Parts: sequence; structure tokens; C-alpha cells
Amino acid sequence: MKAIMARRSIRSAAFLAALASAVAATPCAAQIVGICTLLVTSGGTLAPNTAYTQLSSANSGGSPGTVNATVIGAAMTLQLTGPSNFTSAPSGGNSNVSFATQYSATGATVIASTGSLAPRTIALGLTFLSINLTATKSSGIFPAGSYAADVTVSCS
Amino acid sequence: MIRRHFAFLKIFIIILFVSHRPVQAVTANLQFTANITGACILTVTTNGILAPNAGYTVLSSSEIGGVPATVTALTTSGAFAFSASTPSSFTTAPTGGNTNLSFATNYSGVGTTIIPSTPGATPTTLNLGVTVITLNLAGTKSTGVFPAGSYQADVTATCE
Repeated sequence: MKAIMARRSIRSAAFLAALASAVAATPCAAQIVGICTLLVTSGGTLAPNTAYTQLSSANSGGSPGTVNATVIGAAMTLQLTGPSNFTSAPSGGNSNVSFATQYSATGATVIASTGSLAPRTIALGLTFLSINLTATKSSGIFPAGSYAADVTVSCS
Repeated sequence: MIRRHFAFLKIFIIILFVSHRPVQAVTANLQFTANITGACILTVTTNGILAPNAGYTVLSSSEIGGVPATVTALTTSGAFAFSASTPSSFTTAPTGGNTNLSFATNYSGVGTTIIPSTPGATPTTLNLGVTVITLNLAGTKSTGVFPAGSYQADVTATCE
């Protein structure tokens, strides 16, 4: 019985030593993965100025769009891309139009209102983004009809 | 004993070899919408001033010393026509000022709609955008002259 126990003990010790040796020699690639989720909590509403030369979520009657960015694992990079034209507009609605996107953030990452769309690092946690969009006509007015434009929020 | 060692080794492996790795980008499209209704917005930019002719039988914004009224019409669709009313009497006038009296209104426009001089009652369809409209009013006495005093008459501009 003692001999059997001794053999088992020797085999176990040898196995353990071999395993430890294998572990030490094997590169392992376990990784912490940064994960970002984006949730559009409300779409924006554009309203005209009194001259109908501007449609903006910052005008009276307009409302900004809001997005919640949740980051876990590692800090991520946030980037916004503004539109170059309306995806839907009445005839003449897209002529002589330029867009400006502005946003701010509160929560885990605080960003003062900015019109810069350069990539920004956002910290772990929940960040609340408030995004304003303004479309301006350099000539003419915005004709009656329905308009839609997209701002793309990217997290990587 | 052996199991305990395995458990230790598993933890050891995880702690030793963790590293950071970026993930694929996630994107969200945030939509902004607007709905502009068809509208015509009239703004009185200047009130008119009437001046008498040499015979004091006419009070008109076209006479020397008179000033036409100006109205800005902003339309967001091409479905609107402009017209102007002609008063039947002065709202304010000295005694005798409203007797034997007739009025004439006419207007013209520049901007997105070019309007030649047009009688007030004749509607003109406005193009999309801003049209600056000049309004003239004339009160004419068929008999007698305008007595001294203060006069006031209203012209109603309509966009419909």
C-alpha cells in the first residue's frame, strides 16, 4: 500500500512538474477586451430660425439628440461624423447647405460643448452625449417639407 | 493537493498573461428630423406716410413727402398669393375728411418674386423665399379738399 502511494505520489509530482514546465514555456494571449456600447436614447429635432435659413436642434422648438456610451474593460475612442447633406429633403432642401455638429458629454467622461469632431478618448463607465446639429443655407430658405439627417457616433 | 495546485496554476496563468486589445468599432446613427410646414410670414417693416398733392384733393404715399409702406413676405412654399385691401375710409380723420372720398391701393415687389405695380385687390402668387413688397395708398376727394388734421387709414396685407 505504501509502495502504491509512493508511486502515485511520484507520478503526481512528475505530472505537476511537467505541467508547470509547460505552462512556463507557453505564451498565452488572454486579453482584456475593451467593450463599448452605444444607445441612442433620443433622436434630434431640428427647428427653423425666423428667417428659415437655418435648421438647428439648438433653435427654439428643436431638441438635441442623445446617446449613452457605456465603456467597460478599457478606455475607448469616440468619434462623431456629421452629415454632408440631408438623407431626405424636399426639392431644393439640400442646395447651398452646410452642416455643423456640436456635442457635449457628462458622466464618466466630461466634454465641454465642442464643434471639433476629432477622436476623443472616453473613460470606463457611462457617458451621456448630447449632440446638436445645425444646417445653414448660404442662399435661399428651407422650403416646406420633411427633412432627415444622420450624425454617426463611433466607438472603437 | 494536486487539485489545489491546478487551481493555483489557472489563476497564475490568467494574471500573468492578460493584455489589452482594442475591439471593433461600434457605431450608432443618430437621426435628426425636421418638418417645415408651408407658411407665409408677413412682416411690416415700414408704415406709410401720406402727403397731399398741390390741390389738397389727394393724400397719397406717392406724393412728394409721402412714404410707401413696406412689407416682407417670407414663403416656405409656392402656394401663397399676396394681395392688399383698400380701405373705405380713414380710421382717423378731421371732420369732413372722409366725405367724397375714395381709395386706391397698389403694390410692387422685389426679391424672389418680382411684382410690377399691381392693384391691391389683384393677387400675385409668390415664389419660395423672401419678397419685399412696397405698398402705396392714395385717398382722393371727388369734391372739396382735405381739411387740416390728422389722418390714418389701414391697409391689410394678405398672404394666402
